[in-house]
Amino acid sequence: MVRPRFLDERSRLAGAERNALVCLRPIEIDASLLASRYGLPSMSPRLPHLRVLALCSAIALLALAARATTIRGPADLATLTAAADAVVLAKVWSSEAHWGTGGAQSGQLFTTVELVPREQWVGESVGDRLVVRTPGGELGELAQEVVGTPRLHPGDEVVLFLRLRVSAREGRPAIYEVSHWALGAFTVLAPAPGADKRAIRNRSGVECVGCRADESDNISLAELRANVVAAAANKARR
Amino acid sequence: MSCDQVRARIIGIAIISLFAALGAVVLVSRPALAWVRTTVHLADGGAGPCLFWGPRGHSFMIDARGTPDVPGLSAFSAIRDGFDTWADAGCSDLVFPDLGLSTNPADRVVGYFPGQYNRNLVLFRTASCDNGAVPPSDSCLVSGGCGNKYDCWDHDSSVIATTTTTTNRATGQMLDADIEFNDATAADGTKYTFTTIDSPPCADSSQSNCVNIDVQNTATHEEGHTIGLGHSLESTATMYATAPMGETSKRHLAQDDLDAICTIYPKGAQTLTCLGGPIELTASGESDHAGCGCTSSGSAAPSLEGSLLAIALFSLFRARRVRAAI
Repeated sequence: MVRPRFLDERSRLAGAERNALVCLRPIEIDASLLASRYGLPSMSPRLPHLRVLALCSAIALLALAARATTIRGPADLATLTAAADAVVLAKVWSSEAHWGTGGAQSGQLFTTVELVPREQWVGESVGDRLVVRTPGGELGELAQEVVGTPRLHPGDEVVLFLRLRVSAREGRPAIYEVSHWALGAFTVLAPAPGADKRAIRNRSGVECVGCRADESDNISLAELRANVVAAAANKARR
Repeated sequence: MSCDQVRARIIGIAIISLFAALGAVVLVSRPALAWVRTTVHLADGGAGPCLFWGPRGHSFMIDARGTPDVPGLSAFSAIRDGFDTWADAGCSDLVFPDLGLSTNPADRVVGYFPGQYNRNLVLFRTASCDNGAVPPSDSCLVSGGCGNKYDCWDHDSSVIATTTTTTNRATGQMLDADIEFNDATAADGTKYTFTTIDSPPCADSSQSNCVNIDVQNTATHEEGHTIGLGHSLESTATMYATAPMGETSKRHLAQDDLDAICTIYPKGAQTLTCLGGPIELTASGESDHAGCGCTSSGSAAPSLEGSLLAIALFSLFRARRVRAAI
């Protein structure tokens, strides 16, 4: 058995391009000679490398995987806020996959994620330790995918629209689930050092019935916070 | 011819080959760029191997309880028609043996049961786990798994239908795939209405005698996931990610869907895995496909793009050697 190389039809090409990039790196192309010999416009010696890099990037984007489930929209911020028991900005601390109740005979894997809340925008306090459970996970030699569920990785900063599943009891923390699955999770990214943080939603795993074209999947964190807080205020007034 | 001329000519060939490879990517591969394969999710967030069935397709059973929304057998026919749609593609030899209706209530479970018979089940969950179906003290509320234990819809109420796939983590070989429809009344009293009629589309979910959530439309889409397809970027595709209410167009495959299955499961040729070399296929867990036990090479024939890139690389290396010699 050989070690899998995780290449699909398109990522195999991306792999070839990666190899090409590695191979090209030590080669200094004589651009002036090339230009004079073939009538090409003068270009930077590194330009071909950049072209390969751009090509690699484009193909890698196309090779991004998607998973799916069918979810009822809309999934705008007002709808998500109205459906949520809590909305938090949190850092993912840990993630662990496990079988459901009854062990392997349950047939189902789940992933329990612990997060450290940084801000809570909506709902009763979730405390200083937040536990979120998502269906599916990877355990041993098995990977179980319940398509459309959000994936939370240690180190990620996320905004989650949460639904309380089990209340806290006898020292055990409450357990939440992400409302609307992947549509209720935004990953927070800083495009550049010092730049405003952006909140990105990946809906590639979801087939949405009734979602609207104006639902934003890329919004500044500040704007997201303001919109959610405003939606919560409107909800409270109603 | 001087050394400079030789070097320049070789570099020129390399550059032209690179541009040709780029052109091939853009032009030759255009029909295949929209469809996407599902991959194993890695712990670090990366993409692992893509999903595939060792056998060509998979068997399935439909739970006999069906949905009260649809009288008679039309919901079952709609689900079967969905599988037939995928199987009918002439360029592929996917097959989906129909193992009939599953009538044992104990079999209304999804997921993968190691060492046991695993049926690929399609079922409608008609009760919600949130509406008193689960005793408040049951450990499944904490650990998960109430859906199977109490035969209830255990997912978010916004979810209409979902597919659970279980795969070999290292190879991407699929072991089981189950589809659940949310036919339960949610805690807020709402419920999705499944239909099988052809038209007209409902203007809102409260209407009757119109297409609301079309079983075949939804099933055909979810069945695409059971064979390892993700969401396509092509808006006309069955595997496209959005759907208006009352949609029925996904009942029929678009060229992009055909491109996908005919590339991954080409008729008479090897399944295209994402693995660079021979792999050992493990037992599927299905009694009717009792373990391929064979060895399959996932390597595909060299592509045009790959060939052009190879020419480019070879030329560039030749150029470097010529320059070094100079």
